[in-house]
Amino acid sequence: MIKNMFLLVVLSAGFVFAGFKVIQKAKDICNPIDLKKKCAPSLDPFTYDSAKLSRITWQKKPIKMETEVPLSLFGSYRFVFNTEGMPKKIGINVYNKDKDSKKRDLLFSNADSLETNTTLIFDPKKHTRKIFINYDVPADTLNLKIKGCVYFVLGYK
Amino acid sequence: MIRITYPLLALSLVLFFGSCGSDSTDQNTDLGQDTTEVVDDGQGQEQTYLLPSPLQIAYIFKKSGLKYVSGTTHDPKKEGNYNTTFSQSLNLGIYSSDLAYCVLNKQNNEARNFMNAVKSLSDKLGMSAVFDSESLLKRFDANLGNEDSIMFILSELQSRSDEFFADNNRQMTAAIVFSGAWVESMYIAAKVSGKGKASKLPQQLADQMGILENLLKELKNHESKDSGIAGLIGQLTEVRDIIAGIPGVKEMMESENPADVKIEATDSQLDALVKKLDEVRNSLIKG
Repeated sequence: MIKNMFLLVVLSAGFVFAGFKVIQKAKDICNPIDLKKKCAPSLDPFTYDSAKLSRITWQKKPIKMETEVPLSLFGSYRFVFNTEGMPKKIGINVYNKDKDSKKRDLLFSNADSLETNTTLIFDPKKHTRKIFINYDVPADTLNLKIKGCVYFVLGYK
Repeated sequence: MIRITYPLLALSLVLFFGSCGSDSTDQNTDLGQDTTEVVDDGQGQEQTYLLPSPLQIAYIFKKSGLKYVSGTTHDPKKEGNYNTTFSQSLNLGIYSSDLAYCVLNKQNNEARNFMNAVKSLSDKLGMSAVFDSESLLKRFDANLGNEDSIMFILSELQSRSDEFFADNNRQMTAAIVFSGAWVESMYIAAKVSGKGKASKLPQQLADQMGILENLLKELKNHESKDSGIAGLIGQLTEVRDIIAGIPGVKEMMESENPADVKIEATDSQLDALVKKLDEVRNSLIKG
């Protein structure tokens, strides 16, 4: 009996520890401080301006997340994306106009980049007023409940 | 044995599922780190607006030829006058802009005073962690006069503030702080650039329209949460309408080549704009 009890206690402790590790891993991989450090070399020689950590949970239907980024005609900019926290590839597409515009130009896309390439850099051409970042998340047809994050940093000079 | 092990099994299951359950809680609190609030329109589409740092705005103005004129900034000694979270947030933004303006123009003593005001208001807003127990302040003091190092420290301060707002789900505070910073930057530009054909003010302000549009959209996301925000939106909308009325501004906003569009403001339009910025800025620093 004592042996069985001991086994159960060990098992339950194991479960708790495993659950804790899963949470820790999710926390660690989407820690904005760590992600910012990882993006810093790619941002150079631009100065940090702002950042956005987008937490993404796949849904039954596709999701389009758009972030509007205003730029100055007098500045030069760099966009750095880190997708380490995303267990499956999502579309990162950058446009000159918003998602409701009938005619907009695609300025940058990760469509051709490998899933293992988790750092993406885009330098918009000078004299651009606004940039629209779209995260295109496919439908979770298999109900895998995929969760992750994309970290984006804007630099200027 | 069965009577003893069932409770144990139940306990282990509770502990296990309890630990799994905390995952989703954490996802919604500790890890809810979007820097701006997500607006879901119910059709699988979400829209957010990025706001730049006060340092970038000051840098852009400096790059476009804005000089330093003494006496245009707010009085750093007045930081103690602000007793509500709303006025503290607005004036944290105002002092952040003044700090950036002084640093970029090598006004070290002034910069030190504004850094103290920024620190004091940050503390009042519960943001002491941003300064990392005075170490950032010490580094700031040690590097005064070294523009590159100070710029690096200020950008670090900005990034820590961004992380704080995101970690603590205080996007509304971030938007109010930025409102103060934006108004102060425009106010300084209006005071320093002046009028006349050589003035770069119309171009500088037209260039800011994209940021102002984003700021208004972001403030509207939080309008119901603080009674002061509606008034702020009203004031900023008046500023936007005056800038939008300047010939060339609307064309520039829609043009594929905005840098080629000439912005020409009459003296009376600039007067109206300067007067409005004066009025808005004075109401913000009144507290």
